[in-house]
Amino acid sequence: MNPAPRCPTTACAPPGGPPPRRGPAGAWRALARNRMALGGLVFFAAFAAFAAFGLWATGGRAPLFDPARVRLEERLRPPLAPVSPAADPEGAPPFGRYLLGTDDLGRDLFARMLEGAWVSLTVGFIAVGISVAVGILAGGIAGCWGRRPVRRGTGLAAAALAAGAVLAAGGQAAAGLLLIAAGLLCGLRGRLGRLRPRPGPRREEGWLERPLLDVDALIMRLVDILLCFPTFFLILTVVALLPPSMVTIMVVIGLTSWEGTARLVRAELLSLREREFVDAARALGVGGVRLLVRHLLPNAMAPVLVTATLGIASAILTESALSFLGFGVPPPHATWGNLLADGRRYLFDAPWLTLVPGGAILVVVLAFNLFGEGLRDLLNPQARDRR
Amino acid sequence: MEAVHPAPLLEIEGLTVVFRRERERFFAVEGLDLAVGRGETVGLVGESGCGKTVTALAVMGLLPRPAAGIAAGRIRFDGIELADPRAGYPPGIRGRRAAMVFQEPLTSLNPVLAVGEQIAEVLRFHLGLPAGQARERARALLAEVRLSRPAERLGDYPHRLSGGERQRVMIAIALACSPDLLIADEPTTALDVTVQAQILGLLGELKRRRRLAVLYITHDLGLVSRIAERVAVMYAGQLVEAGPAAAVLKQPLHPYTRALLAALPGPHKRGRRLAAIPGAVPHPGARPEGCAFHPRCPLALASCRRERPPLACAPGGRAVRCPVTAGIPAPEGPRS
Repeated sequence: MNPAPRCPTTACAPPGGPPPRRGPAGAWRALARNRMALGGLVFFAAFAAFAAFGLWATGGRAPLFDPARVRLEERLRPPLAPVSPAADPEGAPPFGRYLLGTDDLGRDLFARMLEGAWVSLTVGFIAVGISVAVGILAGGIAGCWGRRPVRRGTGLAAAALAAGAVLAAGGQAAAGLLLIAAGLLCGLRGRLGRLRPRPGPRREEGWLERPLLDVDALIMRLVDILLCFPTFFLILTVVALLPPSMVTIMVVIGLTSWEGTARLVRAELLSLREREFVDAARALGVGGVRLLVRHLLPNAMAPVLVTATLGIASAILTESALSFLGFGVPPPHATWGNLLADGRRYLFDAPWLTLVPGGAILVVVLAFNLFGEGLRDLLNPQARDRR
Repeated sequence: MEAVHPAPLLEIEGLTVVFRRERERFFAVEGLDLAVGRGETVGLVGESGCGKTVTALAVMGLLPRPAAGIAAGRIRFDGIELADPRAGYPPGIRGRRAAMVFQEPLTSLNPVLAVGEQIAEVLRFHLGLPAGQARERARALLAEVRLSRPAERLGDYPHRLSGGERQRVMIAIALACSPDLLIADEPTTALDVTVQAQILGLLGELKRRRRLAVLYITHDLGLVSRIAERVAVMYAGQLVEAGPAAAVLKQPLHPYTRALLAALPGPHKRGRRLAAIPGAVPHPGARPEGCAFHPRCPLALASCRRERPPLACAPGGRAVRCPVTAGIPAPEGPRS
């Protein structure tokens, strides 16, 4: 409609001085000034590189560092001990030395640390990814659409569906499917009833349409209930019941640690919703999911990312603890937790077997915590400028 | 000079907005009639709590639900009904054909998005422009609202801009999709006076250049004379006076308008006390019977306590809700 407006200010020359920092470059510079965060990031990068190197160096048919090769004649050698000339030269570590010594079966501890680093890294990231995703979803729904009522019909339908699923999974297929069908019918009826335009100002609500509680209450009470369980024992129980594998552990850790994120996201959204820029965005026609994803969540992300970084540290710790107790990643694979557990028996004869994995866990967890602290400042554009 | 507007762009008829809280309900706006023609600027004036902002939110379909709702009346925008509760708010109006600028420029921008991003978002969302074009248009818009060094400002975050600059950005965002109607809700209240003058000048210029209809909400009658062609005065949710801005300001008919004018500072009032209006705007839940203004009105008659006066036509395309002063032009200008 309008012709492209012409710039009326071409006459004024840009004033001198350096152009203001902004965007990613500004973030980097701020990071460089935040020593703690930078230290954490450097450590994290080193850890990731170590883990990636480990994945490459310990895999394949003839790995550079073989974490599984047993040499009983070389058991409990101290760090930097040379490979004895009598030993089988095949599969011996590079440089002819055991960098971090060997364990009670003569396996190279450095190779096993390499292998375990990858496990810790993936467990940390994927478990936290799952927990943050679930937390943002639950918190986002509770914060944005929490006032919507859950009607009795919907509740009944959900209960029937759940019971049906349990029955069907338990072998009673006919009864289960019947319940599932009943649940679907119940749910659909309620939905259709609400969609149909009804004449008159207000119709009497049927029993099924009466609100039971609202979405916010449903989600947040579920969170409260889940927080009541001692998480570690819950994880132990689940891991003991399910076949042991890395995937199980990641999923279980992820699904038992999202409550904090959900609470955080919901609380942030509740306060953000009242801010003027949200009204302004609505006045521009932005609404629903777009408003949530583009305007609300980015403002709520800072605390979430910080807790996620801390969560990675705690997921690594949880995995180590599980492995230490023997419920972790199954034995042929090394993780820092089960290295620690195995080393414990030789604490006085071969202290490096305990100190090395223990120290590694400490350093990685500490690095993540420091990085998380620093990230909090970096994510706030205003705080970034102030430093 | 009086412009004739055959088909108004925005037509509000009998708008009644109800707020519900627990068992009680009260009317923030009662039976409001208002029209804004194409390219016309209408000033909506009144003290705080008169229902000005609620009216604007009703037009934009942004009343806080479920507490507030439109109980009666129609809002037509270019022939499209906006207040039909069953149909919901029609798509393609908000931000595209009608835009709103808020009172608080300091908090109306998203703090974690660069301003260029925020302008470009609207362009991409409503007009489907690719990112590069949207960015170029955003730069041009910033230049149009007279922000210095627009190309460099695109990447700035809101906290780096001053209040006036932020309000310029807000105006740029509102105008991004070339809307027909701009609702400005006290856009200069939070700014200091020199910046206020600049923003007003900018609005006037944009309005002329783009043939933009503006609904300008303010509590400052003095401002209205500078920008609006017509003015509507609200009190306690009702329209009490409407008419061409020059006439209303020169010869206010309603006692409330007169009192507002008398309360304005001005050069001819130097050295004198400004006349304050005694009392306060009644809470919407506790409005007096009869004329809502009668407890504060110097001219109130006994009948004003009982009967609610209707909006009556007055000569010169004006309307006033006061039986005392209806036909009688004010003897002198603003009482001072």
